[in-house]
Amino acid sequence: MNIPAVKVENLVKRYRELVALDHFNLQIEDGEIFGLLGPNGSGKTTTINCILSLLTYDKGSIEVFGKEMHPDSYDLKRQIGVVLQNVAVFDELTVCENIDYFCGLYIRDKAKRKQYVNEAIDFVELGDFRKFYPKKLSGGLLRRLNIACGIAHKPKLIFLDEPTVAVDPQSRNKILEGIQELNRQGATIIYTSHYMEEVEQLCTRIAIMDKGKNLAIGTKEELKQLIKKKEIVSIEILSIPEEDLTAIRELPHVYEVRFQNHQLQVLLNGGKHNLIRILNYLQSKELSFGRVYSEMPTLNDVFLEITGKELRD
Amino acid sequence: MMLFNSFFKIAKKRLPSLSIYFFIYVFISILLGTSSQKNIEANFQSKSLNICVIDEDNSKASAALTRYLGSIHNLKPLENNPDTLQDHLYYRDISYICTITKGFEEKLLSGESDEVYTCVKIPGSATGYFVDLQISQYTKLLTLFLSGGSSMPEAIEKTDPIISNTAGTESIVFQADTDAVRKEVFFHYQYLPYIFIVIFICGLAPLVITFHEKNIAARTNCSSTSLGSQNIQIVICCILYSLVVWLLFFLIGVFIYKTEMFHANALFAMLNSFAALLIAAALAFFISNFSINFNTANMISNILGLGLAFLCGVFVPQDMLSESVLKIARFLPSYWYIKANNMLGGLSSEAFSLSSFWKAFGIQLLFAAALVSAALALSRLNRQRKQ
Amino acid sequence: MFIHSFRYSLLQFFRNKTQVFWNLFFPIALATMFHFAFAGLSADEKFDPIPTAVVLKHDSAASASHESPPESDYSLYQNSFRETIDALNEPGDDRLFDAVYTTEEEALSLLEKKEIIGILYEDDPVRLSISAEMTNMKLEQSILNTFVEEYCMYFETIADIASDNPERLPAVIESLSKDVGYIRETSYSDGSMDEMLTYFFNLIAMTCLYAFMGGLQAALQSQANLSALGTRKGISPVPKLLSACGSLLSALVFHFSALCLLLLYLIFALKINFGSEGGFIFFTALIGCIAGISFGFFIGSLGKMNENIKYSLLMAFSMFCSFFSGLMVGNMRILVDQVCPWFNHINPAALITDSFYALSICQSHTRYFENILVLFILSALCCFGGVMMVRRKKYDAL
Repeated sequence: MNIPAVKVENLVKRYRELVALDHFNLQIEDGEIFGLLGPNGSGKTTTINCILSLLTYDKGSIEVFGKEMHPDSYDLKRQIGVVLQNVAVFDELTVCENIDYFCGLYIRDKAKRKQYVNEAIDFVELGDFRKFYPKKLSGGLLRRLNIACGIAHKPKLIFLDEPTVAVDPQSRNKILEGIQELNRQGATIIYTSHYMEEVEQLCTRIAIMDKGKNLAIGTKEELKQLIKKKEIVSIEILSIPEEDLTAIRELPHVYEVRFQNHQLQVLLNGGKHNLIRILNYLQSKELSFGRVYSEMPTLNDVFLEITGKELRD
Repeated sequence: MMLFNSFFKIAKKRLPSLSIYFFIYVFISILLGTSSQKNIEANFQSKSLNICVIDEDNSKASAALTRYLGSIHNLKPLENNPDTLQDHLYYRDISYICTITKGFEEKLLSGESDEVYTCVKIPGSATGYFVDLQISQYTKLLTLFLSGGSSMPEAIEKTDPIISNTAGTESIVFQADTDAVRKEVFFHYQYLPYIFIVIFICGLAPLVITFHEKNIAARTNCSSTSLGSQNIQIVICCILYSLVVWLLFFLIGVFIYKTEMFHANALFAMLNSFAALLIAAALAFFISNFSINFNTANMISNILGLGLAFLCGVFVPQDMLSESVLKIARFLPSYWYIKANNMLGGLSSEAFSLSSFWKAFGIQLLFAAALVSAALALSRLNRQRKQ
Repeated sequence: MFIHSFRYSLLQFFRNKTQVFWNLFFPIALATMFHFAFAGLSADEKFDPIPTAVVLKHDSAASASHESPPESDYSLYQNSFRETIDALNEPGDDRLFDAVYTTEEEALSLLEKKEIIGILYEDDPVRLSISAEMTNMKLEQSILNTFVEEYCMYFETIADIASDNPERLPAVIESLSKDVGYIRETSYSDGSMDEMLTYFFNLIAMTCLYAFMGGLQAALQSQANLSALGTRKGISPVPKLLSACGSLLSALVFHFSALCLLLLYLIFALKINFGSEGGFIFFTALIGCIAGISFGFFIGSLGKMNENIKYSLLMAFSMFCSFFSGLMVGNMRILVDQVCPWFNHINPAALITDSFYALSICQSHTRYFENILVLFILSALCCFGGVMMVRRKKYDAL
């Protein structure tokens, strides 16, 4: 069996009264793009900081590449790259020098370092900005520099903590593509975000966290299996009588029907041929309708259903 | 009026960093104000220095000399240790160390009075000269009596009348009405050019720059407020800001010196401070044409403020500045401010004259006008460049 | 790895305009201002002949109505007054007066315009008038006053003796005219007594303490809970102490080079006389610099306060120390010595200032090395404390 890249068991972290991590468990396999999804304050960054051995924790154990992680585990640290949530670069150093500095903390060989720095610059496409100081860079470029600083030394394990916050869509796509490229090159990636779409697009496995707990873990398909909602059908209709709504609700697999702004939404919990069945019903009642969509549930739905219920309690 | 409101909201945020300067100023002002020394005294009193007398002779004659010097000066009892004495002299805690050598009395009696004292003083200093003069003259007097046939006790007794005798000196008061105002009132005004420049460059200039900042300017230009109205609002804000600062410092003065602040000469000084205010505001207005942040403004204000203060005699009296420095200072506004203030308060060796006050005041106004026109020209240039 | 962090940290310092300004340009500008402003300070202390008006008897209207002393004495008195004035008016080191002979009206108008310090009336006895408004000329007025008092006394004395023991008169007049140097001027050292030097010493001390900026930066950037950069360094495979030491050494190089430039500027451009021991001067600056950096490092590592608060705290500390060592008021040191002498022995600014003072004034180096030793101990304590805190590897919260 493969050694997991990261293994967290029963991790408990308290900030005074607040329990930030509550018996948190996590196992990340080598070669994954693993997503940690959760609302702000759910403990994502705390988890990462604990894994990186920056924070003390009250209970539990953390292993990286099968070895216990300590602040002095320099061999392990050498294989880790981190892109922090806050931009951490020196204002007084240029783009190139910043990357060289952080790369130099990991790699001594000068020639190799030079090559790595150039590769990192190409990777984040900052070639035209080599001699720029961070102050002169726009938000998106700065984020890209931040990423380059974290991954220039070609680590085997990369933590990305919300790398796309406040980044323009173009830069964001570049960043996401880049992360996939890194993964193709063999790096294991741990990605935190509260943007579901990003996680859904990127990650092979996802953990949903809230209040320091790991609520669900699995591939996105597995996660989607967890929830009731399997399909949602939306139909444009000018108006529909109340009894027809009740009738649609009685159709198989339907568990909720909404009508708002000339938009009929039917929520279904699985089954097949749902769309045809609904359209047939509408046609039989001679209700004219406009556009029709059928959507599969997104992670957003998964997240809302899992955490939303708790939040409402 | 939105611009107006937000101006003062932002101004409030700068308050903590500026209040440091403000409180230091108030502190110094109060410190000065509490030492209530009358500016002018009708009866002449000789200058008292701190000196140290080391009596190695312990004779009647040496005691008489010590008593004589003590009647004029403050005798500081200090340990007879070269290091201690040196320190006190170096830091001007004492001005003179006089050692009465052993055998002093005998030497005087035998008429061999060469080098009966050794002294340590600041070489070539006026204070040293002053004490030298007294010691020599007193000793000479003693030797005169001795050579006139008196015994030592008689000679000492005969010198008694000169101790604390200043009757022969008449002190003439030329300006009858100045004696109601203390010098400190004018010290209160003395440091204003420095403090104004700091407050205006650190406080006002970054504020105006904020409103001129590209994005904010663009946004306000899109709004329904016309450009003219915007400018007028900014100008009104600046004027209000200045008046508030000015009034504040005046009120501190009133708080410390009460009615003395309304005395004729003090009112002139107040007018003078208004000129300094205009110059500081104009300077800030000029600087606000360059887009700088608070840090840079802080650096500029320190260099400009301290530079003007040192060159023009805010901290060090103008009398002490060298001729060449004063020649350069004449081309700086603070020089004229200080010159006028010194004259009003009698802090310098220049006698009061109304015409020279108006001259100094006028020159300051010209400086302010020149700065404002330069600022306007620069801002037009900036706008053209942007277009 | 040490060299790597040293190199980049150094680049950082030299490119940080704020640091370069406060540590190099500000002290140089201040030194230049001191130079111009205090150039007159020693000149002001120096004795210059006192501008005086002399109004002679025959010019005043009341000459006849005065009751005259015996003819011979009076002429002696009168001649002697003019002779004395003239003698003391002769150009040279001993010149006391810058005298003009004039009428009373003229003299009064000169006095009102503050062009002269006093008016000497040839009268019996000689009188002096001064202006009550010239309060800043008190010393000169007092010198004139002393002159007049004692001049009168001589003649009273002579008159006394002439009436009591006329036979002694020749001896008395001889001893009066005999020029005796009663006073021998000595000094405790060959060093310059120029008060201006204190201000420059203090300026250097202030600049040394400003080195706290380097120590503060080194501390903040090596603590994961204080800055994002610290966090990033914390997860790198470089021991924290190693990179912190690199930063500290680069801070020392940066601040010491700034200080050297300042010293060279003071010595060669402003021609400040620091005494002959150049090597010790630079050594003092180095130790002072280390002290400044250590304070910054210690406070920087201490507690979770943010950078601005720590910066303000250290700035306030520097100004406080500088004030009590005499940056603003030159003779502050001796005042402190009278109120709480121990403070001068732990105030780093006072220690640095006193080291320079000891070098320029004192014969032996005992006092100098005492100061340096205390500075060294203070620095060591702060460094030790800082290192103890930086050594911590994990944090309760970031």
